[in-house]
Amino acid sequence: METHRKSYVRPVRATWWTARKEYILYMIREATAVLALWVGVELMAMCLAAVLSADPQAWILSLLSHPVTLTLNILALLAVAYHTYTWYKIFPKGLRIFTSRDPANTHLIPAPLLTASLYFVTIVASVIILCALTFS
Amino acid sequence: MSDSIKIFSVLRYRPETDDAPHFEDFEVHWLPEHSILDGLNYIRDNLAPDLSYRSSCRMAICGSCAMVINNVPRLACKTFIRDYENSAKITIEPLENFPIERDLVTDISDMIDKLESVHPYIVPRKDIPADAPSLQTPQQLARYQQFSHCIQCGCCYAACPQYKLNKDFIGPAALTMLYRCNHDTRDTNQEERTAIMSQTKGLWRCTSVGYCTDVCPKLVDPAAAIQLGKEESAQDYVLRLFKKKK
Amino acid sequence: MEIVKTDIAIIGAGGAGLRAAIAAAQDPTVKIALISKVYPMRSHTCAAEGGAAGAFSKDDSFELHFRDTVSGGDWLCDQDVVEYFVERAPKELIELEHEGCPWSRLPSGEVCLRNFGGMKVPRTWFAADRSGFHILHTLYQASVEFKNIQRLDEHFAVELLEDNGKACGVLTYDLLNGVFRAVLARAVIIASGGAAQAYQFTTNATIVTGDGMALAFRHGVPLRDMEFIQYHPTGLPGSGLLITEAARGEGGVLLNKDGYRYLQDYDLGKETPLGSPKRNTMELGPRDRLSQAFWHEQKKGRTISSPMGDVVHLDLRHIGAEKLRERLPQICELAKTYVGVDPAKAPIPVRPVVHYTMGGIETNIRTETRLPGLYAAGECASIGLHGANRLGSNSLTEILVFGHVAGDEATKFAKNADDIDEKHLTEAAEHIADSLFTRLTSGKCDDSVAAVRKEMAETMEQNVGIYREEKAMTSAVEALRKLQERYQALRLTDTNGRVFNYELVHLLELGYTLDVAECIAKSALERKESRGSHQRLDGPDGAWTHRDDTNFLKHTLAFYKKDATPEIQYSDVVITKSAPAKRVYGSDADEAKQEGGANS
Repeated sequence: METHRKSYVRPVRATWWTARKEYILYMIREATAVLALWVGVELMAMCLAAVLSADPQAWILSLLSHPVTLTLNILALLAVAYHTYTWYKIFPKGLRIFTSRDPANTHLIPAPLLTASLYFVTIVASVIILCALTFS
Repeated sequence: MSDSIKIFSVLRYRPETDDAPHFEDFEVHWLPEHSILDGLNYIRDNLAPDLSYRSSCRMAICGSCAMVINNVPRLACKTFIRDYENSAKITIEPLENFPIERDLVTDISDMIDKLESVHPYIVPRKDIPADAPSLQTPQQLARYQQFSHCIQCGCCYAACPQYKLNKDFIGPAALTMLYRCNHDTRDTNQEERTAIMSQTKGLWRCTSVGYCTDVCPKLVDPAAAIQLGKEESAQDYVLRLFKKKK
Repeated sequence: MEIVKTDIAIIGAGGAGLRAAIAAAQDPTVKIALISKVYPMRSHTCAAEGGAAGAFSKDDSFELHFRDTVSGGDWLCDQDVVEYFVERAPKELIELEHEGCPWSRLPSGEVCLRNFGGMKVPRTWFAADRSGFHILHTLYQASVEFKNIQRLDEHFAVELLEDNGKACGVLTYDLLNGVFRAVLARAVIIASGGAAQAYQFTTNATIVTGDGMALAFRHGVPLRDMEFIQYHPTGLPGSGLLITEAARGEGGVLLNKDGYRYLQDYDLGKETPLGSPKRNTMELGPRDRLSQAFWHEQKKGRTISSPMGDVVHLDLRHIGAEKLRERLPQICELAKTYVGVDPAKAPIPVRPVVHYTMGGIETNIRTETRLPGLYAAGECASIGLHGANRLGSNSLTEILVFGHVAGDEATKFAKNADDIDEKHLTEAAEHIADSLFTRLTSGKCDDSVAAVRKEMAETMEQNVGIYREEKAMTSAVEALRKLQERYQALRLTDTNGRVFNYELVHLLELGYTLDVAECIAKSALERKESRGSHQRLDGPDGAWTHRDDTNFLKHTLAFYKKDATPEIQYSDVVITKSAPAKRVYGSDADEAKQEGGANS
């Protein structure tokens, strides 16, 4: 077929995600997986220590109080918090529930309400767990 | 004409003579009610008659004039020059992630093909009477109505990094169309469409970036359609495992 | 020359074109080439808002729909066509429902019907206020299922191909590849839409340039009743964007600068209570009468001055935010986006803008034109449905009913047609293509498409508007002739561009619109009476300010004359059941009904 086309395909660079703040925030969210991996490794190490070490409590305390570990754990907490924030924001998208079964009703439970309920549960659970840990 | 002037920096490309696109600046005289599309029309009518861009309805319903304006995929007819008072110039580029054919016109055939590949037509039950409409309550309509507002403008494909990186991804608008059809109570073809969306190049390329929903000019929320689709796809997968075991 | 061989070529992939394609495609042996200068979902059908009429409720009947349409058309309708139409309307709408059109519903699940202007019974099926959008998308999606529909997207129609006195195809320009492509066919259907872009302020998209009308016109098919141009009473000032009649169907009211519902001064009945619109009364009168009322208010200085010209106010506040969200979501968004008004809190500024072309390519009831093998359906055609004024929501149904007919009829013709002389047609196509590009790229021109188009639109707006006079229309006819001459001298500035050369497209579109504009102006000049949307202020002792059934109960036919103003002839109107009577709305209509009046 005759054609005068000469399509120009714009090259995609490895730095594509720096083009917009939305992409950067997305990459940060995805990068929190690295710190989640760190927490997993840390827990694994503590489990192994419980089994293999002569003095597991001392080993674990020295691990957790090491400045590098401490830093990583603080970062991990921030990462989890950010991931929680983005997850809770997105969560209502997967939940389309009408406020009543009345066939004439077309109102959905609003997304902010669903998100707020997640925060509510999070805060209540956190308080209970912290209290349990503190007073046990 | 008015005293207000704005510089439009437009990415131009002529396949017959250019090797690569390049920016060209234009001084646009504008009034408060003017959209970017009005600005482009001004350029075409007064400064560069050969500037090519798609447009039609001027009211954000036909989907023709999608382009990237100051780094955001938008409809030119629904974006207003007055909202860029803080910008020295407004950068106008063709829709991202599609090949540029000429100036602001891209080849969107990949998106069109994908939209058409999801069997986007309702397959009604065979027993419905031909001489009467089927019943559908307002709530049943509301289950899919929002997702039927898609004007197929392409902003979501321009926004999507997964589509940028993986051209086999079916894409937000096609998956939204699929969801819309599957949730219309009159349809009987869910199985075939569920199989389509459950492919790797279907829903599962999506990593919930969510920028598609941010840029959608009709508030369709394709990210929601995909999220809901993922839940259904996962359920369907598990149910099939049980069916197989039987 | 690139060639496509097919059975039926359709120019235009909007509602009518898609419906015709689907009808023809029912026979899997028939090949269809669907040609459109834009992707199908961009077609202007998408912008229609209010709904599609079809007699369906228990209180309704084909007879009532027939009478409303005929009186709405000021008795210029071909009544056999109207009868055919009303009987098939509900069937088409039901079929669309089965295909997935998201019609708005009652709690019971039944389709909801709304009131519309000029209709005595609610019979307008609607999908929120995006009816045209949903109808178009439903048809487009349904068409995807058919493998025998070959789509030629973004192909601009450059010329009709004729052989042995028959329509045999279309020469197109493939915008993506930058080449001409000849579509050779046994039958051609034109479904290319209206021509409101001949005017300065219009609801219409910039692609609505009368392409198919001009193509048929240049091949000897007359354009019928072109003087009947519908002004929609409620368009946004400046942009002209449409605020649907449904806003008035849901209870919206029109106010002048004194906050007064001025329509009660114009034989449209008594003021109805707020929120309780009465059919055929006040704001639910027909479009021509409402637009004319604006004109009179403007003359009296009672319209509201705004930075974008004179307006009146469309007040929807009493409808309430909840109902507005459900029934009129799109216009709420349009008002907020384009004039910064939230209709729940403030009235919307509106004014009449050009909206619809009642006239078009002359066809018979089977959508056949005088050129064998050529059919036309939808707004581009004048099948005789709308007469001198279209009722709102009749045209979305028209595209379905007559798109279907065109598809069926073209199929029948194509199956019985002789083989196409491929060699001869290809040579003809090549000749047209070569000479076109040679002419348009030879020499320079100081004039521009933009300048000629602007002058054409201003001329039409000022001289062939809502109210017309001989002097103004004569000057329009003369001005348009001069613009045609200027048009012939126009040249492309970009002589190398082939791919997506929109400069070429706009230049050719302008030529089409100028031809149509000449037909409008000349037809208007020659109709020495007032009927429907063609209203005059002149005539000896004001003779032409009234309807004149003795001399003008006939259709205007505008014939192409090379390098000259179109020649006007006339043809008969088909009257079957409804003898011409006085058009009455509001309380006059009630009185007439009580007396068992003749009109409706």
